[in-house]
Parts: sequence; structure tokens; C-alpha cells
Amino acid sequence: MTIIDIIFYAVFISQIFLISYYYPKKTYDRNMFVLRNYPPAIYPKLYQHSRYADPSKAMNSSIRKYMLGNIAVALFGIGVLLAMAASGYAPSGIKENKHIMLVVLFFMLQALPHMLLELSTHNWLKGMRGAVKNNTRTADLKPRKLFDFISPLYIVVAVLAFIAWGVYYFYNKGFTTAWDWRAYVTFGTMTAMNLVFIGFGYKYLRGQKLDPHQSYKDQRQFIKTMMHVFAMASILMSLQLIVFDAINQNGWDRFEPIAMSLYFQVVIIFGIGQVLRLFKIEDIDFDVYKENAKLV
Amino acid sequence: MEIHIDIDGNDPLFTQVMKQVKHAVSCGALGAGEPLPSIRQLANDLDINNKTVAKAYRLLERDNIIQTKGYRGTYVHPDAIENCTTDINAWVNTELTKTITAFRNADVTDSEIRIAFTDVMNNTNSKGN
Repeated sequence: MTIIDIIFYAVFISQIFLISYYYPKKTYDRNMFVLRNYPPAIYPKLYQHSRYADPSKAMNSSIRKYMLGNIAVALFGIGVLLAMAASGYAPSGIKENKHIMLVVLFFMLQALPHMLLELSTHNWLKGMRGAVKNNTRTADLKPRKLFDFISPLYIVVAVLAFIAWGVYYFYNKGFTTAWDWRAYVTFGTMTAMNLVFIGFGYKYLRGQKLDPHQSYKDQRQFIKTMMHVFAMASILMSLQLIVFDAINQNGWDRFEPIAMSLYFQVVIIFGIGQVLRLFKIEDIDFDVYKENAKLV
Repeated sequence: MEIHIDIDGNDPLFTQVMKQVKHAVSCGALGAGEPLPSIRQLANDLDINNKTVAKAYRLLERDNIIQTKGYRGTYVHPDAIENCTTDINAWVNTELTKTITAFRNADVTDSEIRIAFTDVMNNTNSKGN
């Protein structure tokens, strides 16, 4: 076993811990904190829902399922790790790209509970909006502009990273070489992903509040958080492709599983981690969910 | 500064938006040169049609309460506070009353006034609804 193999196993353990235990536990604790400290009796608007008869129970159930799902994935990951060690899996001997699929597929499995929770939150907020029956509508007369929420530096870096990747990619391929299907797919996917970030960013910036009761201060903090998440996601995506192009170009395939695992961890740190850091539960104004609170 | 609209209220929605912006200006909550939200943002926040907010903004701009600076956005007009006191509807009422009184004094019948008024309205270019 070489040093590369040892690093890979350490990085893979870190991937299991970070994505399937550390951040899920933080998310679970955050939701349980809300359920414990902001009960339906005092904060009824937090639990107003057009779909569930007992919304707090439904919330409790989905967050518990999320945590159990993550623990199951973490245990499966440890099992995979032991099986890899037992079968002598050694990234240092890797000569082909397909070996990174192990890391990619496991990450996709890890992402599943997070996506289900995201979907459940989306449905929750949709139901919350559906439950609001109010003839009075309110709006803030303060404009929401992109650079009120994020430094232009982030946007410049994201654009430069995208250009740098494009230049590096076509430099490696040869600028005069005709595009094959792979080039179209790669370039198309990168552009589409960035357009998705821009679309969601615009929706948060100019669109309706997802939570109808949310205070303007919290709405602005939420937008700020999401703008940072999208900008970092775009930057990381470009950097990841540059790193992987360099790996492929120089025949460093044995480092690919390590680089891929590290990339996924960094994505989570700047994704879920950023949301937990910037949109702190202690700073959220829960008074807006009280019975006599006016809709803002 | 917040504005509130009542979708079941007696006033049309664009009038409610106009009145509240004027109120915000006259009470000092919105100062001269301060930026206003975009039409889309305000329409989305109030969950009303973009055209309703666009109409309110157009009328506020006509009354020199706000001014649009191209892509830079919409701002409160430098003379907005003074212009808030001008009631354009009251002025129209006064001018029409004077004109109609003059016609009646000249023995023009009400139906002749109505027909002439409709003709003039139809034959002059509308500046919008």
C-alpha cells in the first residue's frame, strides 16, 4: 500500500463522515431545535399547512427519516470501504478513468437523502404559501440588487474561472480541432449549470418569498446566503474541470479518486456548510410565526 | 418602508400602490433620489400583475413623484415632496367644471357636450389608460 492509497482511504473516510454524518447531524439538530423551541401552540404560522393534518408530526417524521437515511448511507460507505480494503483496492495502481466511478456513485447515494429533504422543504413551503388566506399583501419598498448581496469579486472570479476552464479545455483539445460530441456535452453542461445558477439567483432576488411569513431581514440574509452558494458552486465546478483536465492530460489518473472525493467534500462545505454558517437559526426572527403577527 | 394593498379594497390596485408611494414620500419615509424596487420585484412581492405596478409607476412618473433612469432603475424624483401635494384628478375636475359651465352658459345641451367630448377623446391620441 502506497502513500496515495493511504491518502485515498483517509479522504474517503472523510467523505463518509462529512456528507453522511457531520452536516446531516447539524441539519437534524437545527430542525429539532426549531421543533423544540418554537412549538405549534405559540408559533402556529410555522406549522400552517394545506396538506398535513398534523404538520409538526410530519416535519418531525421527515427530519428523522433524513437522519436515518444518512446513517444508513454512512454504514453502507464503511462497508464499501472495508470491502475495498479487503479486496486490495489501490488507487495508486489505477490506469483508467472509470475507477473514479466508485467515488461518484457513492456520492450520488450520499446526495439522495439531502435531495429528498430539499424536496420535502420545497413541498412544505408550497403548502405554507397555499395555507395563507389573506387579502392584504405587503411589500418592501427597498430594491433588491445583486451586488447588495454579494461582492462583485465573487461574480468576476466565477466568470474568470469559467473562461479559464474554457480556454484550458480547448487549449488541450486544440483550438482548431473540430468539436466532437464530448466537447458539445461538456460545454453544454457547464453552460446549462451556470444558467441554472443564474436562473435560481434571479428567482430568489426578484421573485416571491418562498416562506410567506419570513421577515424582510431574513429574506435578505437568505438571498445573500444563496448567492454565495451559487457563486461558489460555479467557481468550484470550473476549477474541478480544470483539475480533471490537467489530471487526464498528464496521466495522473491515480490521483483522480482523491481529487473527486475532495471536490465533493468542498462542494458540501460551501453548499450545506455555507447555508448553516450564513443563515444561522439563532438569527432568524420566529416572532413572525406567532398567531397575531402581521404578514410581512 | 413597506406598502400594503388590499386586493378586495374599493380602490384599484394601481391607485393603492400610487397612494402608498406618495404617502411614503410625503411622510419622509422615502427621500429624494432614493431607489425604488423594480416593477417585477414589487409585482412579485405583492403577488399582482406586472402591468398593474407598471401602470402605477407610469402615473407616478407623470406626476414627477418618481423618475426612471434607464437600466439603473427607478428613483424618487428630486421634487417629489412638492409634487405629492398636486392632485391631478382635482385639477382635471376643476378644469372640466369650468369648461362645462361655460358651454351650459352658451346654451349648449348636455347631449351635445357629451357627443363633442367623446369625439375629442376619440380623435386625440391617448397617452395610455
